[in-house]
Amino acid sequence: MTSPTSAQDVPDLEIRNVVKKFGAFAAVDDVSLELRPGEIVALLGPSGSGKSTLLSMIGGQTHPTAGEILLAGQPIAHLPPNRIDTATVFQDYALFPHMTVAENVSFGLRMRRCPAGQIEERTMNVLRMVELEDYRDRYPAQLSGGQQQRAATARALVVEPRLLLMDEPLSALDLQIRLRLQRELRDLLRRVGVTTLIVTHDQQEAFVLADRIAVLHEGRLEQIGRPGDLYRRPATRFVATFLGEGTLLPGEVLAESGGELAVSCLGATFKMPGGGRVGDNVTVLIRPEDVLISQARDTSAEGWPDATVTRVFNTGELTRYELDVLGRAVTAAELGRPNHRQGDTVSVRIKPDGMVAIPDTG
Amino acid sequence: MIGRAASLVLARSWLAACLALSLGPLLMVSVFSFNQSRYYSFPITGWTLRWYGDLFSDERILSALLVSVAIAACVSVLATVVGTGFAFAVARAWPRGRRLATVLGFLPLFTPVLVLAVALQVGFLQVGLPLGFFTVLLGHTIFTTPFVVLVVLTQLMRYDSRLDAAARDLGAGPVRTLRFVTLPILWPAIRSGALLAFLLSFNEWAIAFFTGRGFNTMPMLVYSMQRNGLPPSVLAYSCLTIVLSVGVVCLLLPFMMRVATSKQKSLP
Repeated sequence: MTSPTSAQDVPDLEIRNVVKKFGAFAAVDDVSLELRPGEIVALLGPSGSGKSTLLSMIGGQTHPTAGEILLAGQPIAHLPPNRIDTATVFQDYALFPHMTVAENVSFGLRMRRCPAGQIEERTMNVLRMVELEDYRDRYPAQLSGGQQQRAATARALVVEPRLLLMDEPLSALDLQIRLRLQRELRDLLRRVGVTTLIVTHDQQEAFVLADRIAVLHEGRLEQIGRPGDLYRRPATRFVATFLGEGTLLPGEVLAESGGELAVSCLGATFKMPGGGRVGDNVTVLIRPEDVLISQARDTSAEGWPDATVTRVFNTGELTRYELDVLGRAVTAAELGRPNHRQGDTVSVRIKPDGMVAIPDTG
Repeated sequence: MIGRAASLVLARSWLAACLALSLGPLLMVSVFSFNQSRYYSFPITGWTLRWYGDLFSDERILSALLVSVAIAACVSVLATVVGTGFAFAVARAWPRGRRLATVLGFLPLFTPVLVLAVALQVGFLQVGLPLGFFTVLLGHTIFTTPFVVLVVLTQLMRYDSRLDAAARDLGAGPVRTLRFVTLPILWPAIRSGALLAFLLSFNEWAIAFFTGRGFNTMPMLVYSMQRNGLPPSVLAYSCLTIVLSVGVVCLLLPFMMRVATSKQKSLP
């Protein structure tokens, strides 16, 4: 007998030092990761970063070259997919074209040899949950893209897997529908409480859906953390540029005390968090919304008093500025209509905690 | 310069000429099969179904028809099983040798049937198989299998393997994946292959003539009858075979149109 608390202690998914090589090329290179029960984690990265390969290893479609994968404490790395208690929502859904929605959704239960009465009940429950009960007798080709996505999600959820795997779940949809389904999907996953791993290249999708985000780059795990932390405190230049926009400037650490650095950057000195020791060269990240622009010349605070507005773009809700600060381009953004014009001379300051130092490695 | 209207007329006339050339003889046979006169020549002297009655009361013809149907049915099953298996092996097992396997598999398609018939007779005798019903069965299976492979492989190459992955992911083993997902989705192609094999075997003369002994298939019987002048019941048989072929073509048509018009699937 296991004690009631031990189930809580065991992560639903544990990936230990997993490597997948194709010939000499490491598609996944020494990745370790844990998912706690009920947690939603996004694997975020550009195409070719190894995120889909990692997902297919968890589902059992491919097997790792080295390392271990544990599902609820049990090793699964070398089991066939039908013996792993995960369910996958495939990219482009892979709905069975010759089966109705109800037949698609009940497929997993039939393969698990559930009693017939239970199959009907569970299928209808899940179809109600994704609001497809009126479409149960339609074929996939008769559904819209969004309905197909929901059918695929229902087909995976109905078997109540230990871990739900989603491969680019919304990437096949138009922007409008994608944004709506993002929110619907988040609510659904929270309501069901299923532990979920989502592969996506879409930063916004990861931010909306996930509790934590693991950023992959060239097969390696760059950083894992809560979306806000990754955005505010990226550990590498790749994470800084892949998640959102920002300006990267060279800096040098002048002093360090209690985790806070004093960094010299374009002739001014700023306090900021980050990694680095005194004397190190670092890269300083400034997000556009943390840049404050004022027409009045301001030498009192930390900042750059002499900057020029070089370009102005208005996208409706936002106005973006490109600034020239001592020969370097800095991007700034403000809500609403433009307050400055091209050619204006302005003072630039950075909001408190608006900068972070990223160590220059390699 | 030819005007648009003129070139359209030209194209239509060309099409009409082609159709007349290919369908003319078939139409003529069909018309004569209803002619009262024993001699097939114009003018038509009157209409009758007598030759169809003869066809179904002639012992020799009936038994030959029975043999032809029996062989075609067995061949259809055998060729479909072997051909589908071969198509799977080519598509799944030999991704590198696919081109070679395809060429070798399709070689019989481009060999003259008469050459194949001679080769089969020589081969059966060499192996020591007595010529008879089973050698025809075997010969026809060898002859028709490439057609089944062609039809099934075309469809299998555009099969989305993620459907199999989805079935496996949802708890189906390899066998149940094949049974509930792969084969049902490929079924239209497999069914077309089976129909094609049936028709090819039913109409085949050379292989049956060279490797069969002790019985007549319908084409063999027609061949032997024409030496003493074709009885009109053979025309009735021809007309019925044309109708059967048209029926099969209609059944195959949706599939052939799909193959001809659909693009190759693209996977990321």
